[in-house]
Amino acid sequence: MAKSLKEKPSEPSRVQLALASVIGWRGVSLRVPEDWTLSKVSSEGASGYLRADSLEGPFVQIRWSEKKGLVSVPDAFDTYVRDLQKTAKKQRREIEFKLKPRVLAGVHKPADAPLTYSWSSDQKALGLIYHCGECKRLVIAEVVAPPESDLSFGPPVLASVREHGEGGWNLWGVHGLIAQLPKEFQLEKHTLVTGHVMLRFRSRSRLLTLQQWGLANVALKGTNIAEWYEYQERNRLGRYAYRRDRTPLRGHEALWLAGRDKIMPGIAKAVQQLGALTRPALGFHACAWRCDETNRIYALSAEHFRGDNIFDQVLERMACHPGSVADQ
Amino acid sequence: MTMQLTFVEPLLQKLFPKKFRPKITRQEILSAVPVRNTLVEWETNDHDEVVLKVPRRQDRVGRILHRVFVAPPFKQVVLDEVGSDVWHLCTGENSVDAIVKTLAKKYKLSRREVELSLANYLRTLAQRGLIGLTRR
Repeated sequence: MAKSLKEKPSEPSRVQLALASVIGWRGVSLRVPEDWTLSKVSSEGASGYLRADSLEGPFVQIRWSEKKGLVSVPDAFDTYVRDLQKTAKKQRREIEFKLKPRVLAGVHKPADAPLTYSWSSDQKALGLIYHCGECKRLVIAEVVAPPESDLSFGPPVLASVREHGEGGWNLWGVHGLIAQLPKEFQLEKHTLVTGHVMLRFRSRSRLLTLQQWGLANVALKGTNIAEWYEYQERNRLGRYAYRRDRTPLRGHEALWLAGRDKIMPGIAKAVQQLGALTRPALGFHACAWRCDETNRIYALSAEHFRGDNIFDQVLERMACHPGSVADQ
Repeated sequence: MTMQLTFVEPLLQKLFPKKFRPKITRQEILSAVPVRNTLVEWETNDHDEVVLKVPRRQDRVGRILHRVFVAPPFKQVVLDEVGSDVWHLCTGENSVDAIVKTLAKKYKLSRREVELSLANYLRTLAQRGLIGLTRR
């Protein structure tokens, strides 16, 4: 399966990606200026919050919640305004709102009944609130900046906000780790520390793990990607029986692993997954590669069903450097 | 309320230095210039890593401990590749901002990644008395 991918060039990605500026989390995605980074994420069930900060102070924040049935965007806006006014009153600040600022005209598709606004207090903001009829998410997105800042970056950032993925694929973008995953895969565990990003997704018994490490030139000094990755993941890889391959990926030094669970862990896993009435995912594929353009190490591993090509599909949509997947 | 807190702040900082640390802005940190402690001797080893020779404490307790445990007069600290780069850049001429730019370019890291790591690293070096931070 992995072999076939290596032989043919990767197909163009269906959704456009702009590297280094894409932020995506649980279906919500946006494009931000290059030096902005994801600084806060949270989600509880159908609701969530995302914030990306610039170095100088301005930031963008998005709140979303799933609202089914009849949803009134103006009512939701009034509630939000009341909350902000309450907070401002507590902090003894004045806050002024303005509806439909001219700079935000046409910033979002009219089908979602968007309502645009701006507010100014000890900071100033441009915002957008709308309800998506397709994913039923009520979204409040706003760019906030100190009063003396220029908010000209606001409209393009707000215009790039998407509340769900396209074609059943959600866009994930965290500190340069950019990939598209089928929306049935839910984030199970994540690590976001300087130098290492790990996102683990699950869809019933299938498991996908995406990882990114920084400082590849330092980490791989005196070693190679194969030795390094197998050592790094030794605890996890111990449960699989696999064969290795060193075919480059997109011109990068890479390690490919293909196999399945060892007999005893495999039986235990199969029993457990059958007990949960799910099809056992005993197949295993992994690929780790070093991207010289970004000086990072990327890795994707998957536990999947027999004959399932999820590993290849996601690998095709996992970007490492500009142009690595047909993007932009 | 805010005014009162501002007024009380220096007193609180004096009484509870750990809880009420002085607020330093990002700009102040970036414009600070790290300088190596001149008492710390250093050299570069075969792997291009910086080896610091940190003198042991010279007070009475230090001298007694030194005699009892027959410890060498210096403690060696070997910095890794990135740490060595930072040490080489702490000449007293480069500001934190300049170091951030150099490291971001060399290691192809984002500015924020470098800022976070470098801030922690410089703090560690400063707490151990290996460097000091000055204003330009």
